[in-house]
Amino acid sequence: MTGNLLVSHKKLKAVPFDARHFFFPRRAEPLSVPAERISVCVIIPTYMPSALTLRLVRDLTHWNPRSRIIVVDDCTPEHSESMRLFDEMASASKQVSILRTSENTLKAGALNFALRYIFEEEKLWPDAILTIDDDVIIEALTIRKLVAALMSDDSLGAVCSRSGVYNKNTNILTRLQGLEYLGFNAVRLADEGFYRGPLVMHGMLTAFRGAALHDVGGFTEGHLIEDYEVTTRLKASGWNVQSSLNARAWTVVPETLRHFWRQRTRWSYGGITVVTSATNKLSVFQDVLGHTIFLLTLALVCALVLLRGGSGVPPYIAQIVIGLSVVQFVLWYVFQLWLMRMYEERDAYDWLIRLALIPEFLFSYIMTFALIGSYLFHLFSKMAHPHSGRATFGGRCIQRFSEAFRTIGYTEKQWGVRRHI
Amino acid sequence: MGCAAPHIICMLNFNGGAVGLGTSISPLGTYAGYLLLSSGNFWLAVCFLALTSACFILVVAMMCRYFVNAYRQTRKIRAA
Repeated sequence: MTGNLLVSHKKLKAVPFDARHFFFPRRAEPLSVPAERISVCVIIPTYMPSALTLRLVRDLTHWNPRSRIIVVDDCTPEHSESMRLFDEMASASKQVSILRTSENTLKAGALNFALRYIFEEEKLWPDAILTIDDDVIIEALTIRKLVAALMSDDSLGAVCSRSGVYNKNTNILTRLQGLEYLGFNAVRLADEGFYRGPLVMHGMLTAFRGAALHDVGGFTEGHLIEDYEVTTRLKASGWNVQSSLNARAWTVVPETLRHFWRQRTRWSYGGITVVTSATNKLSVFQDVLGHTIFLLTLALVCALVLLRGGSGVPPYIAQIVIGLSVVQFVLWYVFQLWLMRMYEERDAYDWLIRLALIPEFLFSYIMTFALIGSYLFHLFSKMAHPHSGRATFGGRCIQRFSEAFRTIGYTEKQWGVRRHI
Repeated sequence: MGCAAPHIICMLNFNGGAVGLGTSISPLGTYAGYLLLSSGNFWLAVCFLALTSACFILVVAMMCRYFVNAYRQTRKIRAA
């Protein structure tokens, strides 16, 4: 299987930063490529797979008979029930290859293991490389639509699927995440054509152009959120990214508050590390804006509380601030209600949650607290570094603060594998 | 690899939630307006007005891009 549509990033045109794209996104040049010419390789990194993984492999082989499927077993303990599933996956089709890492390398390590196998050992050089989490459910045409979207524009380095929640009816927390994912899809669509596209090509299901992934050298191992990190490097290398609305996939989300909190602290702190370490800040532009506005708002509210008692503010300024905030709130609320049209899995409970607003209000504040905690944890981690090895009072205090954050879920090395969530 | 990381922080929902702007920033803005009504520093008030206006423009811009892209994608899907 050798790709014949590979596009080197050297051919790509630079996308100048244009303020008009704030309101009117850039339009991609259409390109028609026959589907039979596109070679596709699917990578499924897994640790202790479940029945859902077997279902995913069977669905992939059934609906995409020309695709190569590589399942990477990230050192699942031998003699476990999961080993039987690997045998069943291997027997599903000749398209399926099962690889096994020599030690647990976590998700990015498992993905890189498969990439080395593809590029160096098998010399497959596929046009499109898809990465899929092992608990994802797809439709018959999901992969084909995703690959078609990727190949529709030479400048695209990656296209991610529209994401949904498979277990959304379990409890109110999963329902809230279902509504949240609806918003994620909307923001990704809005970011299409804005500078180089959405912030994150999610790890759940994304199609990468083989040449693009090779250009950036694969995934960064040991990172908390490898999908955001690799998207940043793709954009910095000149590739555009986008989402495909009609390529749908569903994942399993945390069902308990504890697991949910651990996931969000990982995302939140991982996001901050990506933003602070990004050499090209334009590739994380939306995040830079978001963090700046959030921190400025907090700082100004604190300053207002501390500086109460003056009388030099004309009332109309306060009225405009309140008026703009209320109008913004109403606009956003109406937009959220309008988005429900796109939520095909919605039911009366989802409508009730959205209309009531309070549950989503509380939900968003959990994440605001996770974000504030991430800022502090990042600060303490940075301050702890120069103090390491010194037994000063300040150094000990900082170490203790860092430890306190670790006990409530913050970490620099945790990964989103099944055994950890 | 049980969970994906589909999206962490974006322009409008910096705290990771799709309702972040509506439910986090707006009440803060309203509270700040209330504080400004009773008292406050003139230049802080001007800064807050500028910030609220910037935030408002970002919301409108995001919605604008959403509707333009949704229209384009729907048209493309229908044509295919």
